Amino acid sequence: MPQTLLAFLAMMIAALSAINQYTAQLQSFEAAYRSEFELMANAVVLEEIEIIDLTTNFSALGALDGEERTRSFEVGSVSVEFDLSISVIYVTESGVLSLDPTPQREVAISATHSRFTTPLVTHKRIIV
Amino acid sequence: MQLLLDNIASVLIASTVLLVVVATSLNTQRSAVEASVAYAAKKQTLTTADFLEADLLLIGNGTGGTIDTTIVNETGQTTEFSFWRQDDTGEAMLVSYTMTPSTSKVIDGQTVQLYQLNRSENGVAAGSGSSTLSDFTITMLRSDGLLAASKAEARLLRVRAVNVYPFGDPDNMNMFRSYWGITVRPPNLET
Repeated sequence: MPQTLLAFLAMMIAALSAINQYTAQLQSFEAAYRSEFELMANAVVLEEIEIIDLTTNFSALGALDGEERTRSFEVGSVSVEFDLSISVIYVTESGVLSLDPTPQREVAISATHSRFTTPLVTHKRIIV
Repeated sequence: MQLLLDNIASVLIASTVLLVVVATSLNTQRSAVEASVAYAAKKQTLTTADFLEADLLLIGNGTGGTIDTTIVNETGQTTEFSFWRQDDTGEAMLVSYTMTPSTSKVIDGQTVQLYQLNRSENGVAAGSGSSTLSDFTITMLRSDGLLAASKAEARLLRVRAVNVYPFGDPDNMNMFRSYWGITVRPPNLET
């Protein structure tokens, strides 16, 4: 009987060790996978900020607040779609939120992907 | 009989435990190697990317010319992108990024052509990037993000690259490519 219990214990330890290793491997893979998506989202968001900066005049920026857009990262045969959320707020010269209109606005764009629950990247730019 | 059964049971249990431990150990090693390869590839990609971004932002800096040549091959890869900028002495120089086929790799049963990114200044080799790029494009965009029909229309440059991991066996790895992209807005394209 004691040897049966010892054998059972040995198998339990081996199984737990294997599960632990497998979980760590999954977490590592998930982190690497997410970092690839973050780089792609980064490219898409930065491009969108540049386009807004180039094409939208200061007074029209407010209309973008709360807008949702879909943009794709495309290279070769790969195309990954991201959902972008735009927020526009007035900020002071030092970049602090202002409830009253100021000569500068902060445009923030967040990118999300259906594969991940939290936003991948958020970029902000102050436009004068 | 009881002794025989006990021996058989102990051998079976010992073998099972040993197998699990060996498999776990091998898996750990494989995972560590994969993480190291991924890190090396990512670092290589980002190092090239940082340099390229800083270089592209200087298009037309201190010179009359801006974008000189863009050549795209039949698979959509940018095989040459040349532009003018100032060198350290204040003289205009022509910087060229060219892609030349390096080797090929079988990934997911398909042979993928890889390229070497080369950089030259006035026709003289001046640095090079990754030699395992499977995709590399520099696309000229108008200010509204649509494709520019000519160099004169270009306000933004969209760069996209895919770097295939330089080491490892694609069949035994979860990931085998590193993606990167950026859109730069060289100040001298706006004038």
